[in-house]
Amino acid sequence: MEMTDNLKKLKDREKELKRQKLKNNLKLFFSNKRAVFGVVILAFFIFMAVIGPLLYDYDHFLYFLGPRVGFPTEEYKLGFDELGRDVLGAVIYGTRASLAIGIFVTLIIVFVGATFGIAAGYFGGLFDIVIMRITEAFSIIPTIPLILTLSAIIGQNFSNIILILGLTGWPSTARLVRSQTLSIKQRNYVERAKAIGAGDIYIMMKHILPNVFPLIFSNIILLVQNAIITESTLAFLGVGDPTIPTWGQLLRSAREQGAISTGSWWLFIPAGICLVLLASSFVFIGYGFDEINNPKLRRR
Amino acid sequence: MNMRFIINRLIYTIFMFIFVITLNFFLFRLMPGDPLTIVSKEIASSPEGRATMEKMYGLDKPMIEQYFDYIKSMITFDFGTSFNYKQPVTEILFSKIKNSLILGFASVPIGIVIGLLGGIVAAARRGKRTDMVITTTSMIIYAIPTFWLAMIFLMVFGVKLGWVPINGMATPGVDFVNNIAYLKDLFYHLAIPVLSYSLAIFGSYLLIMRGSMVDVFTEDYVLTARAKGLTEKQVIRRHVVPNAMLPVSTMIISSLALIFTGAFSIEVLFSWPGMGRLMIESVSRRDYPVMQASNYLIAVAVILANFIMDILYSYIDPRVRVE
Repeated sequence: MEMTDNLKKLKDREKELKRQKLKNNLKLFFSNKRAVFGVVILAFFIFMAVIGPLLYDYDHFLYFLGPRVGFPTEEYKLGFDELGRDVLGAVIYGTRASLAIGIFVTLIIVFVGATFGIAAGYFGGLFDIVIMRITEAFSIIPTIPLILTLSAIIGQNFSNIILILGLTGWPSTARLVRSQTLSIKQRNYVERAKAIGAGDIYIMMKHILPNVFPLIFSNIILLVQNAIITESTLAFLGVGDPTIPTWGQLLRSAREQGAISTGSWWLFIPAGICLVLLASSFVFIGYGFDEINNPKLRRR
Repeated sequence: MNMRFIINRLIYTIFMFIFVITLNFFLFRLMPGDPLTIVSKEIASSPEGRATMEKMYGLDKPMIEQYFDYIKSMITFDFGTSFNYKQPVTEILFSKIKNSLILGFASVPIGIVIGLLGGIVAAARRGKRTDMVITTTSMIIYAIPTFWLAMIFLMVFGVKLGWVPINGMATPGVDFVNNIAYLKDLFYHLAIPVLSYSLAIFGSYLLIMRGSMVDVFTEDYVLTARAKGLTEKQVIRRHVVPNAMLPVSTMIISSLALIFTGAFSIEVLFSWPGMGRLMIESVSRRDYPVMQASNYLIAVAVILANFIMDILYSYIDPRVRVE
């Protein structure tokens, strides 16, 4: 009876400590002005992606509401694109595409990168060597040509673009995860788990994965930013899905229509500003987490 | 110099070559569409014509033989004829590479130098207002897509102010009297591409340099240096910067690829007749010989640059040789 009581106290104490740590970290994070700014901007865009389409009607296949690259009007505040579509609608709906790209590409990268990284670090040996050689090779090969080639093979619809960005992006994450795994697997609790007969899969899932994650969290946030920017660059270069409105597509049509020379600012200023704000919000948040993880950055 | 280290890197470099060639070989066999039809629809439509063409391109041989032929042609830079230009691929490529290198060599070093200097200043004033301003600015610029920054510069300097031409590499239709006139014209055309390209990349160098220096500041040897009575300036110059440069230099090495590849969107935006634009064009026209040759050449350049820098790096930081 007394034993279980003590055990319960111990567990409560542990919970209390964890809560305290989380509270401290959150305090630290929110004392960083840039990070707070990033969260506010991100919240705004999430709101725009979720609520925007409910409040604002837009049909990507409704052409010639106005003249080609027509000036903004009372009703259509950001004018028209080269097919006479409503630009404001495309900007609002484009938020969904950018967030979707950022999130899904990052999920693929983290899933593949963590699987290979943890397995390579944990098992070591030949498997480790092979995986590390492959990631090294991928880190040397320039990504944009590879992405262009892959897009020519499997096609350019929206989900293919996500797949390509995910499958070309995992190696750096795998390397990062592997190096953290190497240090974590030496820790006492992993040894102890092994001693009482825990299986490899159990140890990797229960002990290594949860401890690797916080360490690479800031990198994961930066992956989102990178995916969003790369997608817009591809769209700008003409590799993208024309059936889905994205900011990158707007910028591409601005280039093709010579919007810069003709001064058709509505084609590239609003979409560009959204892109920069969303991307920098992730950079701000990412570096905010970095300061929590790396106390050296805080010491003045 | 450790001979074993060099041999090790050399073997690795050869492995990389084979990897890239193999990847290319398989990727381009997965391409959709029938390449023979792209070359000539009429000949490929008749069975005899097809057979002749297959024989001509060596497609009738077994896969493994094709693979070795492929390695041979890649090593000897024999890339065949472009589907689109009907010219030897090598000729097209070399004329474009030159233009890309001009852009890359003019921009990348500027970006690196601004980034490193900015990083040093920010780290020296870490936590102060200057640091906050520099770091935040570079984070925003880091998040800006290169091509959008270039579009804004183009709008301001090219269209509104009219200081520089808005695209191309040389004023069309002009016969330059001498080299100086040509260089002056080139300089005007380079101005905005170089400005936007170097600005677009400096942010990441700045952030890495700052992070690396802030890390070094907490080392014991910095404390020792201060205890010896060195001024802050001396500490930074003699102890912090050299040590912080080690991780940064690996990043510089890996970014050398930017000189060859980074400017895709800039080349497209400014109609710069370089590799990036050629590749985009070859993708949309399904010009496979040009695509695979440029893939290969870019990879070769990057692999060789890596090899050279690995060797140089082992001089700067002898610790890597011990491994």
